[in-house]
Amino acid sequence: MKKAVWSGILAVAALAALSTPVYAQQTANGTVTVSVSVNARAKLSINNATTTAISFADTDPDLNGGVINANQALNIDVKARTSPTGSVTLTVRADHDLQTAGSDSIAINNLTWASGSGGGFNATGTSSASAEVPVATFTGPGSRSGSQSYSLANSWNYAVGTYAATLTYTLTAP
Amino acid sequence: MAGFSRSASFFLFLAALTTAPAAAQETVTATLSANLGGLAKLTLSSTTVTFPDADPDAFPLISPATGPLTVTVKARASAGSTVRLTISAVDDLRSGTFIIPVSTLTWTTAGAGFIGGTVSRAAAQTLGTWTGSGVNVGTQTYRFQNSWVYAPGTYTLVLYYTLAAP
Repeated sequence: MKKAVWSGILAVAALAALSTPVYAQQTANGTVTVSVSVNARAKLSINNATTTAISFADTDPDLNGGVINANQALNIDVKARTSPTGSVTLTVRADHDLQTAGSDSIAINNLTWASGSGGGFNATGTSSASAEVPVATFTGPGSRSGSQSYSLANSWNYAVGTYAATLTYTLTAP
Repeated sequence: MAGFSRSASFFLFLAALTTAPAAAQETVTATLSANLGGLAKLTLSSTTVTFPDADPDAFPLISPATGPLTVTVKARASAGSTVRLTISAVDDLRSGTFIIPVSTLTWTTAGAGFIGGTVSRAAAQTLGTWTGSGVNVGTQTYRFQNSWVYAPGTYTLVLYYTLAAP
């Protein structure tokens, strides 16, 4: 009986000595709330600038189908943040007819354009000084690019002179 | 001989006087046992990270207005085991019905054991790993990938930090 007790004690001692402590995995937790502010924005650039100029060289009205092409196309970048269903519109309006420093003028509707872009840009358009003319319409936020090539209807009826007008583009994102 | 005998007796008498009586020898063993269980503690310097609105062209990556987070990790773990801090998200950035993917949130870190990463809904991402017990302090700086394609709104998301010490 005494031997059995000692054997039991030794067995327990050996088990305690040889065993490896086992601990449950300890965890600690934390939370961080992230907040991001995204405001409505609209950005428009034409030829990577806020102002640019195009010109039309003097040409024989009988040539080139009676049309003078502008010296360069306008590359238009439209960026807007709006709701997914928000309508983003780009319009253009002339301040007046093409005018000389004197009293001569060419009706602004002789200035037309064609767009080679698609994707929201209207294929063609005619300039107006009395109303905004749509250039492009998009739905939702994002960045879009297009080009616009202006042409001027040539005519023998125009008085000699240098004509000018300013076209103002307006990008609207609700 | 008689003198020698007296001297010897005297010496033995002195020895008897100067020597302590021999006590019964006994060994007592005290076993000290300290039960150090695993522990894990995580401290974040802030529970909010706020990103301001910014022009996507000028700021394609936005830094938080709230600055970097200081992350303190304390762990008591078995020797050689890996202590891991992870970040998980169960949703995207959301503003009403508008959504920005959570993968637009990335982070950089400073501090031993801390690593950069990208927030994911699919799986917890590791912010740091260490071996064994110890205290580790680092900073975590979030970045938000800006874009024109986001709808206006205030987007929020809860990130879950989990520190595991085996």
